[in-house]
Amino acid sequence: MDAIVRTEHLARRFGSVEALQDLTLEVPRGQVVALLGPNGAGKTTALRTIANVLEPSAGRALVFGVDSRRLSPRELRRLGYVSENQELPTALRGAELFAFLKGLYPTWDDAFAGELSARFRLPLQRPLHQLSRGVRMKTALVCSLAYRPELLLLDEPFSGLDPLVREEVIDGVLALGEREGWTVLLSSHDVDEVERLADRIAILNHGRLALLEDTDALLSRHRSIEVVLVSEATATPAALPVSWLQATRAGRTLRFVESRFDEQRTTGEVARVLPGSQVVSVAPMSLKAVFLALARQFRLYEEGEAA
Amino acid sequence: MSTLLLVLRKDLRLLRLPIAVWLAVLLAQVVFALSRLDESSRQLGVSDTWGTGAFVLMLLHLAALVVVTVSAPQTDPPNAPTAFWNTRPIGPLQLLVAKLLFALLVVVLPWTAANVVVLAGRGFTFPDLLRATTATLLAQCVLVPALLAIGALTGQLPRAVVALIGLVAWIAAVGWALASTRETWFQGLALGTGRAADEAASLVGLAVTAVVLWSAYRRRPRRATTLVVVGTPLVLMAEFLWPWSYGSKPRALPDPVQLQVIDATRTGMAHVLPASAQPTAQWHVLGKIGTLGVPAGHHLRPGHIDSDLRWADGRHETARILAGFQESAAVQGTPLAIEGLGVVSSLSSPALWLAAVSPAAWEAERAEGTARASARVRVQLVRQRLLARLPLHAGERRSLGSERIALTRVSLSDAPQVTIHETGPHERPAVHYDQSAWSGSAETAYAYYAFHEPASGELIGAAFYDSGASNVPPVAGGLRIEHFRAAVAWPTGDRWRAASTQLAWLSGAELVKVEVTVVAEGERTVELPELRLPALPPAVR
Repeated sequence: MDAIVRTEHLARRFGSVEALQDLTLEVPRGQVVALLGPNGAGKTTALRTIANVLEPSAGRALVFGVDSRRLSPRELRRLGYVSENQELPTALRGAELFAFLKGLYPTWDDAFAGELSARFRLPLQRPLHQLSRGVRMKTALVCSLAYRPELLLLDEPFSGLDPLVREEVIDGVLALGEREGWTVLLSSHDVDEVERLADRIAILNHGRLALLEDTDALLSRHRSIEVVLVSEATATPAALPVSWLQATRAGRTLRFVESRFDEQRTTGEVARVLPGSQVVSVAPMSLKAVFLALARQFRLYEEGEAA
Repeated sequence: MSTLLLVLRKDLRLLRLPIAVWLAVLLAQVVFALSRLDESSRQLGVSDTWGTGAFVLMLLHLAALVVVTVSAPQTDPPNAPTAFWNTRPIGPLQLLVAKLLFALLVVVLPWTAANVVVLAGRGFTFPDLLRATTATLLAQCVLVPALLAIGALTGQLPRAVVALIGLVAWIAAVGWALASTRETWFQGLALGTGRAADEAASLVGLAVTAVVLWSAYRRRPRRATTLVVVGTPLVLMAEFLWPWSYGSKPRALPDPVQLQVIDATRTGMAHVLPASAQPTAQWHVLGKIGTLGVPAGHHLRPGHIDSDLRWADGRHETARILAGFQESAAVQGTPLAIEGLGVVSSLSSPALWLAAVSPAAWEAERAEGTARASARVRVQLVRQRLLARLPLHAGERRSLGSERIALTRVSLSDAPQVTIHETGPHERPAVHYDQSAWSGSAETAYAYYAFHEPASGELIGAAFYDSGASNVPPVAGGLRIEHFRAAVAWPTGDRWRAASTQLAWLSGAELVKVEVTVVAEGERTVELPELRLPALPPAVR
């Protein structure tokens, strides 16, 4: 599987702040990869560096096999970039903006642009500055989709959108992504939405890649588990297995997130660590729940490291 | 190419409002300039300057220029990570060229066209238009890219305005420091003058701006900003300390001696005249340069005079009269200038041209004694062409083709003077007519002589001026076109032999306008080995 985007020890520093450190990942063709992470994790910096909006301080990013610093109009015609912070030429009308972009992209498809505009109900004859933030974001999306880019970089595309618009955008991207076979690298806070879109999840924490995994695999190895102990007097061992995250106890009940779930192995491990106890619930988790568990875990690690 | 045009078209669309304002201001300036030209013809004698309207238009011009030029790069700021163009298939170089193209089409060409219209409306000849346009374009080649660079580096108009103010302050500070340095460290050296220095500064400015722009579009904003800070002194140093001159050299003029118009046998110091001016008691020593065979329409005149007086007891005094046009008019031999024109029938001293040696050297306390006097006189042989002749009455007018002359005022109330207002090709405000700028032009000047033929062709006043005053293009930031106004004044006192201060006396007096061209130039020294200064009259002492 060839990689459309590959980063190798990518780093970006702003003064003394290491916004991105040693990021190595691949975005295979046709896949949707989501960058998740708390604020300041380095998601936007990673996308900007890949798109050559920023130059890397160290390492490199290859886009279509070309170093991001040397991206020419030829490669940029195959790339779509949408960011919540991107400034549109708001004095133009949507139709004028499309006409401008049509000249820049030989693959611009008027019919497709029309289809997208209709799907998002864009008022193309009104100046962009008169439009709401959500409509502008949808316009920006159409501006980056209508020439059928091979690679789509979406930086917080759902941020600030009301739920209805968000739903429209996600449905649109989902439907089109499947139809067009786009390669997408997106960053988002909206883990629920990402779960519907992403084939692969990368979690960034303090500029470093904390996790990179297929979404299905990530979800399938995480379970919320509830165990009933023998009695309330039964002590919880001081050292629980490292794969048990977020362990909490209430009376006889111990709840935790198993991050390496395998039915046989997990049941055996529970029996070994908590003899006589009984697994009463094994529930699949949403990506959001997994993300929260991992985020808390990372924080615990950091606190431990600091201590 | 298509990308350039796409970006250009987008910018034209985005900035249509400021562009419309900019073009409207230019149009208003053109209309204003041309209508003021007519108005001044009707209302002669009013203020020469453009007045409040011109000042307001100038401010609007500057504001619109800054907004339009600075906004062009800011529609696609090269260093903003949120800029729309960043991830679009537009190369930085393409973007830069598109912005330069915008500036050329929207700023430079309309501006130049406006200048050309105004200058053509003022009677400029094609060569002069070409010169003026070249000068204008050279100035714009520095100013416009500099504004583009500021726009590119700042990204937003308010920040650009602040940066512009800071830059102006920086230029003022560096300029002041360099001017001070020049006065102390480079005193006496011919530095930073004329066209060579201007063009050197322009070229250095252009080079600095080009590197700044390139750095900005290569996403090196810190380097670009540093270059602005460091480059400004370089530009000013080129302006202030440029040591070389170039370009066409002034035409070598022959010496009047070679032309055999000076009679050596009649050249020397001749008279000692008691000064009559009160209260300062002075003696005037007059040198004379004999002339022979001066061609018709020509006459000799002094440039400057260095006088030297050595007393028998060893004391020594020198003085220099910088006899510019005005000063040369003050010497007593100037009536010959009128004679050469054939406008008077006879003159009191037709054969000799007399130079006044500095009166400042002979003060009252040196009432008696013997000294050796000498004077080195820069002599010019000039050709004169009579352009107009009119009675010395307020309200008199003459038209000379596209040129109009009006005698607006004859006054004796304060300092006796005649005010002349003229419009037409000789005002030439935008062409640099200083000596270093355009070879040969400084050799031609214009003069007014007021004279009184009934009183034996008495010369009662003169005014000389060369043909260019302002080096600022008319629709540029300087915005200064003055309708030339000459004032012919005549001083009271002994330097004018019979000039009356009575208006009635002026009936019969006339005014002539003359084109003066220098055809020969040289120096003569006249001496009086034994100058005996008699005692001053008792009244003076």
